[in-house]
Amino acid sequence: MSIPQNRVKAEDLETSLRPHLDYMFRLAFRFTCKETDAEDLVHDVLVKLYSKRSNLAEIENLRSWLAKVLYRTFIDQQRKSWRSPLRLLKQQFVDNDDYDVLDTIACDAPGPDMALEQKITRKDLQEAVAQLNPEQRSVCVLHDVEGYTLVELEKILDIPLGTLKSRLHRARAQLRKILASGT
Amino acid sequence: MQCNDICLKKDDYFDRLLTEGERSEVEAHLGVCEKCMRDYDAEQALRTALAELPAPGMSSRFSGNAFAGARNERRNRTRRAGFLSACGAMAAALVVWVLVGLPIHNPTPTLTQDIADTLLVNETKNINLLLNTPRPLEKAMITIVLPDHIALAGYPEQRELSWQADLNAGKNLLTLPLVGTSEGVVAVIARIQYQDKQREMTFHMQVSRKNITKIPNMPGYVA
Repeated sequence: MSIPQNRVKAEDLETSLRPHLDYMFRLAFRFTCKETDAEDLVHDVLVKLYSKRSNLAEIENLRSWLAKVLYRTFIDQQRKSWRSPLRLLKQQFVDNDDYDVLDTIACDAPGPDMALEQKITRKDLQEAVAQLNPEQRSVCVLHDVEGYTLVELEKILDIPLGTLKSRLHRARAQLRKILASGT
Repeated sequence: MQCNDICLKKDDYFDRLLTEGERSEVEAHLGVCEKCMRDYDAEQALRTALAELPAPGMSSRFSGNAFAGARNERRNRTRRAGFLSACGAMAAALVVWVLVGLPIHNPTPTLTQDIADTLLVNETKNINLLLNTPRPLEKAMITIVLPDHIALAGYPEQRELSWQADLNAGKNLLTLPLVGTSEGVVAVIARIQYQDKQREMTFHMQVSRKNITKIPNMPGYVA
């Protein structure tokens, strides 16, 4: 859906974005690994978009563009956090609807490799993904989970193909390592 | 094509970035090399699991208020020229940092592994909690859960301490006078509740009978 070509009012913006809200939340959850953080991320993106709504008329592929805005906002938030000297805590999952749906379902195609011979439970995988650094996790989520091709991501994220490939390679290697160690 | 070549080309093979000729070479090797085939299966399993990784849906509360909340916040930001409104705090990030053993007059210390995060048995120390929130949170409920080996000074039986506080935008420093009661490594939980949101953090302390300046492999630390 494209944004109406005349001056974009708040209502027009909401009409255009509403069908993508669930996608934005899902992607934000995959980036942040927490529902409350996902809500915060989507909220921050929406606040940004209200102030820039007159520029949105030219956006052709709104979904991909939203993925880009979410990615950049998420990385900006993470960088602000990295700059803080106060990073002592490890946050715990306490949201009411935490991962109960992920707890018991296993991948039905376990590989014979020693590390992955045991079933990859979705809970284990979700926790492993959460342990990736934010940039690796974002690229892994967009490519391996959401299904964007590397060529698409090169355009969406403005990241060179080689950088994307190496980031993905390291992300998967890290995932295998985490899953194999069972932590 | 050798096993090393397959290893190098594996990602490109899965990502369909190889030429037809290269794909054929990879597949020919996989047909005769058991080890590479095992690696391939493992990689396939990982990618399948990733592709099927579920995500929860939005809560009805959030989906019903997402646009109104963002619009209100945008309006308030414009009106107040940079001052953040409490009405936007419903969906605002609540970031909590906890510092331990730091003097109250030093709000921005450099964190090192040698931070004073130990207590001696029978020693009382002020533990400072630095709560950083981007927006003011009125009547936020703060709860501290204390395990064995540690107690609130003057209230040795109280394992849980809750109180309401109005948090300002930015850094809020709260001080807890804690006393070590017996030796052990403990996990202290700090919980912040605001409206229907909740964040819980854990920080670790060691209570010992002698001074320890460094605690290796302490769980709960971000390197």
